[in-house]
Amino acid sequence: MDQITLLLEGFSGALTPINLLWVLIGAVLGTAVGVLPGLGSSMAVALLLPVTFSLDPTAAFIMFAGIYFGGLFGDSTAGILLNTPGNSSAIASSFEGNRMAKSGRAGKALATAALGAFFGGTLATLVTVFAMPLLVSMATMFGPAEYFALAAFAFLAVSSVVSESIVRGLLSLGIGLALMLVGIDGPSGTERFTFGMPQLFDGLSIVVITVGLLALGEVFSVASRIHREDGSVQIIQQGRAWLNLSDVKRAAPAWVRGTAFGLPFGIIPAGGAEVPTFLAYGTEKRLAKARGDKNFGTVGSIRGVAAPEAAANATAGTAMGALLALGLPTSATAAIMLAAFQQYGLQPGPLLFSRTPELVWTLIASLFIGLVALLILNMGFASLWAKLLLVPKHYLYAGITVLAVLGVYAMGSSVVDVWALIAIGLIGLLMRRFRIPLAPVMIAVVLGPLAETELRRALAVSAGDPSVLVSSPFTITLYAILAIITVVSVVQHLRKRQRTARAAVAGPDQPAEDLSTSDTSTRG
Amino acid sequence: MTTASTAPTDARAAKEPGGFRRDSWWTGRGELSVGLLALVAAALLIVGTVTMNVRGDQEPGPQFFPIIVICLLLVTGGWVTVQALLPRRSNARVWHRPDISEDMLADVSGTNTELIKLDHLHAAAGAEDETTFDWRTFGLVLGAVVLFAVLLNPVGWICSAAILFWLVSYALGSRRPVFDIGVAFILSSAVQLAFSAGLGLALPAGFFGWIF
Repeated sequence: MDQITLLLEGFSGALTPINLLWVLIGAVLGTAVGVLPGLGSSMAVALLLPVTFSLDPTAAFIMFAGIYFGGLFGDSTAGILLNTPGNSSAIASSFEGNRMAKSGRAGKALATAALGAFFGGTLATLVTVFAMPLLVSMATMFGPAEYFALAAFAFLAVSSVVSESIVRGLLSLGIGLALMLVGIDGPSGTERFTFGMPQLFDGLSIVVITVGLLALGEVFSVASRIHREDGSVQIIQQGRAWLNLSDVKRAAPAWVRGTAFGLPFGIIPAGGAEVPTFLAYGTEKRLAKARGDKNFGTVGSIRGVAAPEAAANATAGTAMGALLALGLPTSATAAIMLAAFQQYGLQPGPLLFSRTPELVWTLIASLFIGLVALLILNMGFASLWAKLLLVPKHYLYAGITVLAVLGVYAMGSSVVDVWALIAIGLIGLLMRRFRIPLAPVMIAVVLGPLAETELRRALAVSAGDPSVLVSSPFTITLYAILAIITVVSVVQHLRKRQRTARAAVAGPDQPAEDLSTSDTSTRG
Repeated sequence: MTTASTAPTDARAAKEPGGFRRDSWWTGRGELSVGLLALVAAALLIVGTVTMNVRGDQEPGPQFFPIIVICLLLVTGGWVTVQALLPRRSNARVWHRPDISEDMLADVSGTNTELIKLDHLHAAAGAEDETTFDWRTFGLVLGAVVLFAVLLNPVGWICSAAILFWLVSYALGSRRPVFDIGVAFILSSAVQLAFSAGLGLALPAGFFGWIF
């Protein structure tokens, strides 16, 4: 049990007062951005990345670990209390959570969510610890063709399979790949798409792209559709976030089931926690129906909150494992974590473990510490977090704007970066406005260089014969899975199109979304 | 109060609460901008690839991957452009972010209605009209960021960041402009202090630097 010793060493590295402070800061920030709708862990990490650049990497990553999990703890709070989930990963737990809150059991719902998140996250991180040697040894067997297959899988899964529209997802992927092509080509030293501007020789910084798309793009988008009369925030009084023993007994099987759904999804590039949370929710719903549970769908079932929350954090836990061992980001947030590693000159993957083992194991240990801190913060101060929703929007977004320009400027002390930020922010606005998904850009920018290098390497070895890309069992399996899920998703999209067409025929006055439901009344 | 002009946006809801609006050709063709964005990107890549001064004789060389990206952008950008030019049928209005297919989520969870119910709550709380694009607010925010980029070096961080913060919060509806001046300067000064003292990074001091 080599890992236990390494993990304990990691704990001794993480348990210094200054590192504990970073964990705490990360946990507070993460929960805060999770609670606030429209913000997420990915944006928080992107904003803080340049600011933390002068810290040593361990301290920065310890903080990012707190933010990473914190977002998933915080987003359910707003979902339960207000029915406005802070992030899409909390939608599934908001269904039952908000029902519980409305029927006067908000405290229980919050406690179930926090404990579920803790359980899922801890178990997934433990699995990561023990699966790490396996993942690392797998990664060392990978050649260029395998790495390219992984990258291609991530590209297509995020851009077309899980996103709303295949074409738009691929368009977004193309934009991301185009952005990452700018700069000097590593293998040959050729200048590409710099159009003679020396500022572009190093390429567009990942920080500029992520901050521009996620932070400034969001501010622009909020500005373009602001409504001055804000809906007054009605927070449900929640009482103490606590569970008694019988509640724990009821929730426990759902936590376990949710975690089981979440674990495998961490290493599949399926865009994050949405799919597993909905799977977990659907399972609980079916089980409740089979059991004759009357609470589910009426006054709110504790299990309907427990399972999705555990699933979300379990996904995040194993996603961290896949990121560290394989260098493969499976969600936009993981992509930004990878970008953060690259900013520090570290490349996640097998080499990271042999070169900087103390950093990796301290980071993993701080994941556990972060989870404990988050549990305490979210159980003890749930009502305080809900108050965050009362922070005036204009200060929030003005602050984000200042942080965005600050970070981008501080990175290179160059106003050119600020202009690039504005341009990318405008692209971000366009994409938000016309429903082009942003996640594929992130994945493309982060994995693009790897995909290109490995593809060229594979083809160079085979002297241009493309069959080398599908020559090993691993790549064949991966492409086969990709083909199957692509077909399924095409069928799904076609079905949706048919339904929309029928909706259009049925009557232009009828809002189309009502047609997909049977029991919703008219809008408003 | 909002001077929400009706911009050429998608035809998702090409009508206003009061009834049908006079549609110009541009109505619902805002998506052209996205398609054209991709096509322009493809054009830039084509120019760059053709004029590329290739070093080394690797095979496949530095032009290989860009060609794939160009094809991807041409096909998807062309598709979106053509779709935007075709006569429109009304699209389903969705609130969910486009990163995740709502249908897929509904399928995996065996539910559909709840998502939509959530949508109703959102609509009730926000009452957004998707056809409007608030040019005034957006223009102010964009102007504030551009002004910051222009002012940063001559005026220094403290003033330009304070102006940026003040303008953005004013644009987004702050009702206490005088109070905000204080907030803005405290924030920008705190950042300057934290940066120069705490992190050892230099922000441009501007004319404050000349005084001291």
